Amino acid sequence: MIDPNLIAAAILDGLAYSMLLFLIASGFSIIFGLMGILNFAHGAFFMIGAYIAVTFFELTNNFVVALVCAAFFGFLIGVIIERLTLRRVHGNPIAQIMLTLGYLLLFSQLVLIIWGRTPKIFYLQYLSGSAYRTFLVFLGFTIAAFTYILLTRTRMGIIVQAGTVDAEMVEALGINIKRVFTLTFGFGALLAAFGGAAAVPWLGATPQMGSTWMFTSLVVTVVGGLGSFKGSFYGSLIMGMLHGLSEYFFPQLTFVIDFLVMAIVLLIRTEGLFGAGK
Amino acid sequence: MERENNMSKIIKHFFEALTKKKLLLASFALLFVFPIATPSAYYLSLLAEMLIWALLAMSYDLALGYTGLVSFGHAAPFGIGAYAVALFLRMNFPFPLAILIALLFGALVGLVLGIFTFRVGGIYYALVTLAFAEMIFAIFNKWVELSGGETGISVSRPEFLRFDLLLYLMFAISIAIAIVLFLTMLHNLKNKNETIKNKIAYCTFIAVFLAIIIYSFPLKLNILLEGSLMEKNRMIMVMNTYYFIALIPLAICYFIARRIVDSPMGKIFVAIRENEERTKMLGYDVSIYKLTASIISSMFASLAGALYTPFALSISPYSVLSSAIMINILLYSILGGLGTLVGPMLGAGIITLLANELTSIRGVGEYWMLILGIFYIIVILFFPYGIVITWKIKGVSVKKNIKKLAKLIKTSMRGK
Repeated sequence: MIDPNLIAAAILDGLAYSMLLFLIASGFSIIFGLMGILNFAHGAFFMIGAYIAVTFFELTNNFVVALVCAAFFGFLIGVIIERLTLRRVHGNPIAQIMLTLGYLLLFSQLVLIIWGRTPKIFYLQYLSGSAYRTFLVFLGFTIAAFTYILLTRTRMGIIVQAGTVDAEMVEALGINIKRVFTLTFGFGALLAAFGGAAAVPWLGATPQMGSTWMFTSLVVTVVGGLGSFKGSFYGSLIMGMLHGLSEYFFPQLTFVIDFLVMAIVLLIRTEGLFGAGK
Repeated sequence: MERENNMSKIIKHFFEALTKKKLLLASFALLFVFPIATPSAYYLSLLAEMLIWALLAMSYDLALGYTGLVSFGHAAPFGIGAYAVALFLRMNFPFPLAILIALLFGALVGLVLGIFTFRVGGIYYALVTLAFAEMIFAIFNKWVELSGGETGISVSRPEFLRFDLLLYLMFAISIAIAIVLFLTMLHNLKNKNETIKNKIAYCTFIAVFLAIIIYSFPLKLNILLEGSLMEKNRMIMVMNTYYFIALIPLAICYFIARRIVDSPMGKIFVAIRENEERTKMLGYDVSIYKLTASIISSMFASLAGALYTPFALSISPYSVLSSAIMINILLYSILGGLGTLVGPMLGAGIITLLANELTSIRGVGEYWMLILGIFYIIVILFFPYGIVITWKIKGVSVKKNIKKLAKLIKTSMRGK
């Protein structure tokens, strides 16, 4: 008989993991939907967010400041990268993929050089262990709701949604779509960096986390449906729970399961479980 | 009398056939003469490594550059080819047979990758193939009895690489090829219809050829004559043979690939890349052509993997199957230029050379990956279509400038 406490722990872990996945995958998905870019640099934003949080936590010993700074720098880096480089290769998908892969590589190395090879982690006295994981779940749901409202109830959100359907048409209506691209990219980077910062007290920050989280979030987005915000939420829940459960009950499978699920979903329902399909 | 005429005609035809793709032939000939110029085992092995990556990059170009299949799983046929050769060499199979088996496995992987195209296209195809390659990687990584896990498995150098006679034979062949080409170039130089640019290229080729022969042939000849009996020569001899073992398949594969892309089938590949719907409407069975392209490309990749094993001697899932290989292939292709065959080969050569030279510099080595990252970004921003295509686009003006210069010189000469 399986211990019910173990199941509860696995579910809590899975939910917390889902929320982190959601923070990175939602931005990735929105960026793909709007701009058609498979942004492999997104994992790098997650990692940079984590390391910036580590630095600011060491400086100020205040977790909220660390979170806000990570989000701010994530936004800044995202906007700079989009404005200065990604815009130049607009309409060349292979170059876009290569460019963002290049950033993933570059940031992983930068992190290695600046912060060293050893993983960094800090703990909060008032929130530790499963309490922090519960906090993560609430934080994730709050941000998901907040982003959903932003996307459906504000003018900017409506423009982004319209751009996902047809960016050229939106431009024809007199909206500066390039600025929308830059801001959306920055917002995606902000979410990812925030997620990275939130992950530190639980999982720590390592130079490899960029690529590992990148590929997991890729799987999430594909399962949920590329370009769909709702899809990324449900996709994160599915993959996060699968990850949590498999880590507790079938530890050998954790590595294969992601890609197995992705391949099956792609071959059976190409547009993902919640994708619109074209 | 008539017979003699025929002979001279045949020779003339032969020369004419040779001179159609002059610059390319010249560079291949230089590759054949190159080992003479390098009496160091390190550079010979570096050159051999460049050739293997060039073959891999070229195989990818058939899929991505010509047929437009954005596959992210190209590390799979390479790694499986490498592992097939390693495992069968350990079972004491002869090397040529092991290569054939590797090709078979490569075709199998290509078949699977090709079947994916029936279901999904575009970016989704890229993701399915990525998932496939990652799964193969994970399976090999976990199946320690088969792959040796993180430490990998090692093979002993195949016996025939130590066989000196093979090297002498190859040297004789390569020098013969080089001499024939040398004469061709001389013949071309006399031709009045040649453009100035080509003439300059021939002169360069002849000069390099002569320089290599005069400068380093005696030294090399000495090593060759002493043979591998001398301990210090052994590594050079082995690497030299190995260089030819890598170069000959590359040359053959290049010409096969060139024939394929110039054939009607190749034209249909390009048509699929440009507009799949339209090709379908014209009555071509698109899926069969995509499957064919995938299989051919995977077979070449597995051949590259098969050649990599006896070169590296020790392979692990990380060194032959990981996504790092895939990123490198993409970089080679992007740097060189997609859809040119030569471009990715050039890109592979340049990057392998840079990687080896930069990592060996003290103080730079640890920042090598950082430099590579910056290099990636610069390349993509400034040469989004690769060196070869950029050169082809901008080369027009260079040609014109050289012509202008030639005219200027001519008129000034007449003026005197």
